[in-house]
Amino acid sequence: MAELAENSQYFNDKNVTLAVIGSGDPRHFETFKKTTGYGGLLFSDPSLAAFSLLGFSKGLAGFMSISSVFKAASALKKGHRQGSVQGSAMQLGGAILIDVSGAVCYFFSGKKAGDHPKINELISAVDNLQPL
Amino acid sequence: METNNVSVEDLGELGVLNDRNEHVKLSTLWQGTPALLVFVRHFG
Repeated sequence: MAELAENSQYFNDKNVTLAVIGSGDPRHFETFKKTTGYGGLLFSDPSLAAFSLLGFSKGLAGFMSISSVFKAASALKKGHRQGSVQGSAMQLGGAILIDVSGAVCYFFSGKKAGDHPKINELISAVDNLQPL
Repeated sequence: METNNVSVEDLGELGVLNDRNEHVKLSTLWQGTPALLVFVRHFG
């Protein structure tokens, strides 16, 4: 999340709407912004309907993987501290890039806790968008 | 590219809540400009 926050201006410059969607109460948006440094659009999908439609995993297997523990430790070592959990801890995330015609130009689905789309992949996907 | 056979049309019909607890239709996010939606496990 920290990398996304650091690069959010890039997406603005490319005229791409960047939105972060979680599942917790919108009351926690401000805390999330302070914790992550992300200042862009934030939404909540408390029903998890969009997560489900996109096929993002939900379950103990993804949540409890060994590598997710190492990723969390690595992030902590870099100074990225995770705050208290606001939303569904069992729900994994992902990302989707949709162009104005409704075409999916990039899709990522986390397989375990700590999985997230690589920032260079997101930037590359945006750079490869075809002008209409 | 993995796509999971996403139906953007169906996705666009879904709603999310903004910071004022208002319902926002997802399709409004990619009307006029491309949209990058990043789904996070939790706000924390």
